Amino acid sequence: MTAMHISGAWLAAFAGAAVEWTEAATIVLAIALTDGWPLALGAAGSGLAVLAAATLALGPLLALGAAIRWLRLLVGIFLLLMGVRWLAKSVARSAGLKPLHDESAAFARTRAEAANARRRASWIVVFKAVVLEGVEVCGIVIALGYQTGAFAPLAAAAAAALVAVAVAAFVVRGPLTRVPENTLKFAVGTLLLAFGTYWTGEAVAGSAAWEWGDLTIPLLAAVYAGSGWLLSRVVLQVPRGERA
Amino acid sequence: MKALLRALFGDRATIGVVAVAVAVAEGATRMGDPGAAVWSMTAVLVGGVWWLARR
Repeated sequence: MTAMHISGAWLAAFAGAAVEWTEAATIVLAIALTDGWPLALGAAGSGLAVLAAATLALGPLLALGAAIRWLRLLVGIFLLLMGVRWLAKSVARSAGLKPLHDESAAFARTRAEAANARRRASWIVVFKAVVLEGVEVCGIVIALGYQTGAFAPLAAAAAAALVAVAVAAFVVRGPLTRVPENTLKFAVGTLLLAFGTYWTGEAVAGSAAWEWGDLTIPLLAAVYAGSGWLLSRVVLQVPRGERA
Repeated sequence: MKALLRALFGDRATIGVVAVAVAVAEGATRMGDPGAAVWSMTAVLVGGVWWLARR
């Protein structure tokens, strides 16, 4: 793996984690301001501990079978599953087929639900939000870490995104509405698809299939970004007055 | 558990798109054209993004 591949993977891990942690932070903050910080931080910390344990256990375990072709294929397919979903969701939102993710609405909804819920239910809401949002981060870190061999830097990227979002949420004390979630999702979707296509193609057709060598991944990312842009701005674009 | 699996692997439509893309690549490889295999997989995935976005 070249430095270019590792920096692309680092970027995907950081941006992907930033999107997921922003969504989780909205829930944590809403519960913290309703039921208190100790409950919210305790539940969030428990969720993060579960995710960290799963990542630390699975990451090195996968590396043991680094040479196995079918394992490389499975990891490539996993990246395709995440990439195609993230890019399609981002395209649908940019085109106006689906509404943009609204952190303010999620924040208000969670606060209203928490006001009428028991403290135990609030704890579960935070724990579940952190685990469900974070499991995608773990998947990205483990899959990209396995293929690039740079597990530690990618785990550090996800941790850095967590710190950045946590500090921003604590300072703002409100939903992080200014994070360009859809743009980040688009970028992460294109990168995951590029990496996933490269490694799946290599596992299925052999490394000779990619005749552009190291330039293949940036080329694939450009193909997916260009296609995504065309789909969202031209092919699927919904007129302003008719947007979801 | 269902929500966890869905967060990791997506819904049936997403899995279907990726399965078709990989099957196309495998088929073209068996026909002896690895270069066409990988680029046709890319084309199927772009089509899949279009289909999933407009669902």
